[in-house]
Amino acid sequence: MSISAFIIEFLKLMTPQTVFNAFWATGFGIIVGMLPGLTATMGVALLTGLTFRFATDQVIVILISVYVGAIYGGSRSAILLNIPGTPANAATCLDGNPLAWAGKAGYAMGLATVSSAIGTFFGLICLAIFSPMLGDIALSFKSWEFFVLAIFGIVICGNLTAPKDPLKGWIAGILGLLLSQIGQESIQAYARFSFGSIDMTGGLSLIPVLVGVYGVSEIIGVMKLPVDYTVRTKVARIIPELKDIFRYWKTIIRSGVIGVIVGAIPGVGEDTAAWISYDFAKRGSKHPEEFGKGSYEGLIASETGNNACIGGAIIPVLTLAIPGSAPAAVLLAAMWLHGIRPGPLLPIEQPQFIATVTAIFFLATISMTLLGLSFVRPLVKVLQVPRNILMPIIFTLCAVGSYAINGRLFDVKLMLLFGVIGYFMRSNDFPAAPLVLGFILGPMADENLRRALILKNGSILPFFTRPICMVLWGMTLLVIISRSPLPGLVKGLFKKNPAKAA
Amino acid sequence: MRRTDIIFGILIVAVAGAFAVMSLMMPWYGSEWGIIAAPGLVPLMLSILLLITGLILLLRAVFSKSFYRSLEEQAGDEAAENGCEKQDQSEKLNKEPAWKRIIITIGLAAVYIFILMGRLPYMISTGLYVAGFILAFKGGGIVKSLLIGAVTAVGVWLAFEKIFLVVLP
Repeated sequence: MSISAFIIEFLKLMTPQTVFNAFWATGFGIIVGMLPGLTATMGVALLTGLTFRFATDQVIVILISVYVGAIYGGSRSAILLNIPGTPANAATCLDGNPLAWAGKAGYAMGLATVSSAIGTFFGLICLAIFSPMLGDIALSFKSWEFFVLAIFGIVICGNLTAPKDPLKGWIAGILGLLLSQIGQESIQAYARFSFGSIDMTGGLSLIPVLVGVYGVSEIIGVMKLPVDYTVRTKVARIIPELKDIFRYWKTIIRSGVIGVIVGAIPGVGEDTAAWISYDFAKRGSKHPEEFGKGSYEGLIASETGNNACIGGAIIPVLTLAIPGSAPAAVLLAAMWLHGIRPGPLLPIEQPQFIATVTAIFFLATISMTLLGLSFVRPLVKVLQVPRNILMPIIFTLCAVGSYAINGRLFDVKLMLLFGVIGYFMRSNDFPAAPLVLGFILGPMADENLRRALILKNGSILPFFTRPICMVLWGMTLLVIISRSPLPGLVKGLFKKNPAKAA
Repeated sequence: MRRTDIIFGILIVAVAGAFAVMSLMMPWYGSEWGIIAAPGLVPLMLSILLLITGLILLLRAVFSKSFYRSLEEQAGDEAAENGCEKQDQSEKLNKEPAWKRIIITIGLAAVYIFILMGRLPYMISTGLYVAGFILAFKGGGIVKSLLIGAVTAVGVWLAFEKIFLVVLP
């Protein structure tokens, strides 16, 4: 993508309507991100339904702005309350809150704002550079590769989102794949698992499922907490000194790279990126002993990492139609709803689209930085609204968002059902991301597997002999074997032998 | 965790079994391509995969006590290291009220969606839900709750039906 294409697309965005939409959506995202329990995915899913009647270009501006704002906004509550606003900001608590208690809450928020802006900017540069490259590779993907890619996505997502117990991540992923099979299939138009119901024949809509899993389940989770949160720290100086940013340039670049790579892995989101960035920053730091006690470097690492992840997560969305993170999954669904078909053919069908998305990211980064540095005190006030007033209002918005797309009450009921399922799954360590990723990849896996079999008269050999398939199977097996008891058993055998010899 | 894994294991095996049976009942030779294009092919494969993973979860929960011991140790270490507040710690202190709160939240949502919505005009059902929620969680008295409920209902109606042009339930 050339710089001139980017500049042209950015200038096209400079209309009062677009700028206004970018600003309010970023502000909305910051508020959603700030409120403990409400995530970026929920914010994006909610607005997908609510902005259904908007023009497509404005919807993309709004959703990307919410995404960027929410991932950043979570740092506010992490710093002020020691509760991450979104899972992406959990690592920010470790140094952000000690800084707040040291009387530097405003300064910590300023650092978080600038780090997030740099992270998002880094992500958008990678998006602009790597999307066209990956797009060229994606053109060689056929049915066989897409099926194996779906399997690989579920396996790696399950593995990384449930690090303690990947089995639960894989179960969630397979369940998502299975639930996506409900409704009319694409080859013979047979209504699967519909029980004669017209609503079920249409299949389970993605947005109500997403709003349920990420919105309603979060409302239940927030209401479950026994005590309300209160802001006890004061907000003083906000604008950070440049020397505090430039001093950690190595950490910033490292965290940016980690964020983009983690983002590009299917289904693995900003939380993993922040933790890995934090861990690497601590290992590479001259002062690792300061980490966890209010280190600027720790705060910068986690906030750069999680925001750089956004750009990384959009790369597979645009090139392969596979989401890199949960909010990116909703963004992908929103693009489908509005007639944009991301995937290998995108650069051919809409050659300017990658430049448009990059320009929107840039606009969202500017909005986030300006709002983040200027409206600190009013935004903190939102945290003082009691949850027993805020949550029913958010629930009504979830219901409206789910209903808006198809105008069916069935979708609102579906939202509640998936909210309850999502809550109980999450509270028992079954991650939500693989479930959602499975739900998105299910139709693709089904269609491509059967199409591939039809094309080769039922032969399964191409699934194992095509070069990209072989690489993907190799990585899938590596992930499964590395998390199975097998390596431990082999290690045990080698440990026992010298003892016997002695 | 072990006990809930047993329950989840049984549930997953049951769901997978039901999906597998229903997949087998779909037409398998209904098209010119035969079995390879059958609508039940992929659901059956996925059901079997889910059945296997569910069984592994169930068997592990029944037989492998050491796995859960190591998980608990790991969680303890992380809690000591991590600066963020842990939800589980506060839950241990107030286990019963937490469950009560979950049931009230889900119950109120169910009443709103299954009973009020579609039967009453949108603004009345939404106002009643919001007011009921605030009252149930002691967020305010009757007047304050009804007032917030009414403002929310009118606000949502104005914002979405009139400005966003969204059809409301």
